[in-house]
Amino acid sequence: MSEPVLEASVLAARDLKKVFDEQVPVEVLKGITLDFPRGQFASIVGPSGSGKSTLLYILGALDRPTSGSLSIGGRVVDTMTQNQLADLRNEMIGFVFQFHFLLPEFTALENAIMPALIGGTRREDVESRGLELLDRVGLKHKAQQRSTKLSGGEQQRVAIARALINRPALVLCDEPTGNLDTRNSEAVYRLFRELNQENRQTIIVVTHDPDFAGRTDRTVRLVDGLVDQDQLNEVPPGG
Amino acid sequence: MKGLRFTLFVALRHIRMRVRSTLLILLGVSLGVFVMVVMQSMMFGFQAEFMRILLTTTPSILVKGRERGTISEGRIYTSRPGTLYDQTRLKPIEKEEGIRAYRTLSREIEAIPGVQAVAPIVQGRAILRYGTRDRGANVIGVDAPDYDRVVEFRSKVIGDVDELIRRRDGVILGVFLAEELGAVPGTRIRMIGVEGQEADLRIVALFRSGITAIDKTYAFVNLPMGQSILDYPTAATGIAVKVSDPDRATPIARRVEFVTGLESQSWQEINAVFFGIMRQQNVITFGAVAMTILVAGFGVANGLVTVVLEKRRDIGILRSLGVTARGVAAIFTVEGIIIGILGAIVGVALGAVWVDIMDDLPIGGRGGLSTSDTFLMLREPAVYIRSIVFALIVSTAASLAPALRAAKYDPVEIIRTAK
Repeated sequence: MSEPVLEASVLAARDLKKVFDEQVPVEVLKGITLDFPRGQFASIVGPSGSGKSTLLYILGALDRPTSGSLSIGGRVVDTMTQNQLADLRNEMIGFVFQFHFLLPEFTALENAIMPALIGGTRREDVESRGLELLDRVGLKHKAQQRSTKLSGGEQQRVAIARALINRPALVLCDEPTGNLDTRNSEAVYRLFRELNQENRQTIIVVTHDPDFAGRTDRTVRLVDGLVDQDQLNEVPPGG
Repeated sequence: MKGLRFTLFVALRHIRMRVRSTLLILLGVSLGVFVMVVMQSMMFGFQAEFMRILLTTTPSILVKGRERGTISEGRIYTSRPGTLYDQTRLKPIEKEEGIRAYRTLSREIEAIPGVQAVAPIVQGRAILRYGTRDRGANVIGVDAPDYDRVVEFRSKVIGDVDELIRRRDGVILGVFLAEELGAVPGTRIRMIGVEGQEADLRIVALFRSGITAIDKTYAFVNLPMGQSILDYPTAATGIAVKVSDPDRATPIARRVEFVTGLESQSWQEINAVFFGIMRQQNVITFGAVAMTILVAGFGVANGLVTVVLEKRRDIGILRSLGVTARGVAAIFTVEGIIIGILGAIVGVALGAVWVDIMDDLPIGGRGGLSTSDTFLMLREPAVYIRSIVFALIVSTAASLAPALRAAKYDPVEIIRTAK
């Protein structure tokens, strides 16, 4: 099972297991070994309860595996403290969740630059980049609007801008289009694809949408806590 | 601190945007601080005024006409085991001897460091009779100019003090004493001493100190008249002493005792019962105020718990974005502290306004310790500072529990279950 860690891999998971301590312990992940090279746009699919989201949270250092080893950007995270993990998330990882999860008291721009502020950057030093990113997701004109005033699709685009503000090596998305209509889903897909091509960021998307998954570079299929299928896709030029 | 700017950014925004919960918490703190300011101002204001009057009306030290350590009253019977009958009896001394050498002793006392002025006095009980009314009085025979150097006598007299010097039969009555007798300045009244001496006196002026007990009982006559009525033809019953630093009165009293051999009491010792009452009052006041602040503290805690519950989702997001658990706790603690500060400012402002209003507010009727018609409010900064500091300590302590609760939230759990 222990394959050599690829030199170029941004994310290396070795035999990850996750057991939830319910009354009867439930083993959600039963030994996942995966490597994601830099610049890969990958998708994780599988039926409900297959452990997709759990895997994503562990890959994003938001949750810890029960056993197994994980390194992000060449750094082994297994022995890191909670505070180190928080810093790592802040610097290396951008999350996009199904529910856009913006902070309601803040404007679109403030939400977008939030990770930079958490990292200690001054507001004035990051605002122009925040505006650039909002422009990139087509929302520059709504930068000063309260996040609650935005539509669902717009909020998700702000969340994507937020995930990118710290130039993370890794962008992890949990059902980013799960709540969006076809038109907005398509926009989000295009955005990821473009960002992936421009910045060579590794993007991993958990999705139920087979069409979306089929247009990523690689699809990992989880069944019952194990990798059932791991295949590279033929992506038509231009996504 | 790297995270402080971010912490303040989020905390201030929460405070500003969540007006309702902010106001609710703020109101609790303000009310607590308000009550604390007003209660303290009222309590200490009254006490400070009472002390001021006491210090300007009664001497800092009173030297008495008896030797230190003598028993002046009471009976002692003892029967020792082994004896059939053995009784020791100390006859109560009916009347103190008085200080014959009061002029010499006065000079000696005046020479003691810290003593500013001395005045021999003769003091005792007498009955005042006007028409058919009799009233008991505390008669004090004084040499007015001397006595005025020991207490602020002249300023408390309504009328002409010098009449007391000019006429041998002049008397100055406490305002309430005169009122009870139904006598006004100019009337003649009869004074009867306990030894039977009598004199017809003329009320030349009234005396108002502001302390009810004094204004209801004191009657001033000049020294020779006092000596005659109280039956101390050649003696004084005491020497009133003023010291330059009232706080040092007790040690100086001891020094006076040492020099003169006569029992001396400082104003603190004389009024020990009053001060005991005041101390108890303070304890009770602080108990009541502490309750208010405690309730305010619960308000802060309760308000913040609600905020934390409502912000559960946001806490999950912040954690996923890289805020540490401690960072989350910091945000809510800072929120509590800032609202505490705002609440304290509002409370102090309201308190100051109310203290101003109360200062002019009539206290229904007299009859308490003080004769003031209005509340005596203290406006010292210490009152406000103490309230603010207390509010800050309480609101900080009160925000810790909700903040720690926020820190314990599991971000994965939140994100997994949020809709």
